[in-house]
Amino acid sequence: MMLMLSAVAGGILLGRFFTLPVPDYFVTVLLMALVFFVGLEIGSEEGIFKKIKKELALILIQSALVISGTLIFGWFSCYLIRSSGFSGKETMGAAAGMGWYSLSGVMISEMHSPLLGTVSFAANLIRETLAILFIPILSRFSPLASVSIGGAASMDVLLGLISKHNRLSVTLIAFGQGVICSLMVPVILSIVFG
Amino acid sequence: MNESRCSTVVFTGILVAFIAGLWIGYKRRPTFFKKYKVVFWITLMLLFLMGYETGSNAELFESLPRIGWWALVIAVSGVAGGFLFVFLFEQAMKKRKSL
Repeated sequence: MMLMLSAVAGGILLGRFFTLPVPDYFVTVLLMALVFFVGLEIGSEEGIFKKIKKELALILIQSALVISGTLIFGWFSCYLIRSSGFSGKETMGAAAGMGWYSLSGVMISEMHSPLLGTVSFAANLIRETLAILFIPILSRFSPLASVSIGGAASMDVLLGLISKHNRLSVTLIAFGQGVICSLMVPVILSIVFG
Repeated sequence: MNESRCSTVVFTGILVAFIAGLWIGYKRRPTFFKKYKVVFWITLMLLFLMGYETGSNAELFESLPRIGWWALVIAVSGVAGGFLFVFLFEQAMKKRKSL
C-alpha cells in the first residue's frame, strides 16, 4: 500500500515540475495488459472454480448484495457532496471499485476523467482502510456484513485478516465475494463509463 | 488525454483482454507472471502515470485538497450500502433458522 501511494505521489511531483513524452495510447495498452494479467492470475488459481462452487448460492447472494448496496448508496452519495458537482452516475462509478483502488483509479482516469479517477482511487483506498479497521470489530456481531466491507479486496489483501476473525465457512464466502467482485469491477466500470 | 477519448475502444479492449486472461489462465496455468510480479509492476507504473497526469494538470492539482472529503463520503456511502444489505440478509437468515 505504501509503495503504491508513493508511486502516485511521485507521479504528482514529477508532473508538477517536468513534462514527460508519454504517448496517449501508452496508458491504454498498459491498462489492457494489467487486466489481462489479473485475469490470468484469477484463472490460474488452483481449483478456484471448485472452491467457489462449494458455497456458490451464498457467495452469489452475498456478492449481489454487496455490489447493489455499494452502487445504490454510491449513487445517492452525490447529494451529500453537491459542491463537487459530480452526478449520481459519477459517484456511483467511483464507489464501484469496491476497494480495488489501483484498478478503479486508473480505469476511470482513462475512460472518464482524471479528476474522478483520483477521487475513486482515494475512495477505494479509504474503503480498504475501513475494512482493516472494522472487520475485526464488526465480525463479532455480523460476520457476513463485516466481510462485505472488504468488497473486491477480500480475496487477497484482506483474506488473512478475515480468516483470523471468522469461521472457515465465512472465510470461504469472503474469498468467493472477492473473486466475483473483482470479476465485476472492470465490467461495471466499462458499462458505467463506456 | 481528454475526458471521453475513445472509451468504446477501451471498453471493448479491456473486456476482451480480461476474458482472454481468465481463459488462458484457466487452461494453461502459467506461472511466469507471478515470479516477475507482472501485475504489481504494471499497477505501479499506471499509478505513477495517474499521479503524473494529476500533477501536470493545474486545475486537477488545485482540487486535490477537496478530493479527500469527497472520497471519504463516497467510500462510507458505498460501504454502508453493502453492509446494510448483507446485514438485513443475515438477520433474515438467522430468523429463518430459529423458526
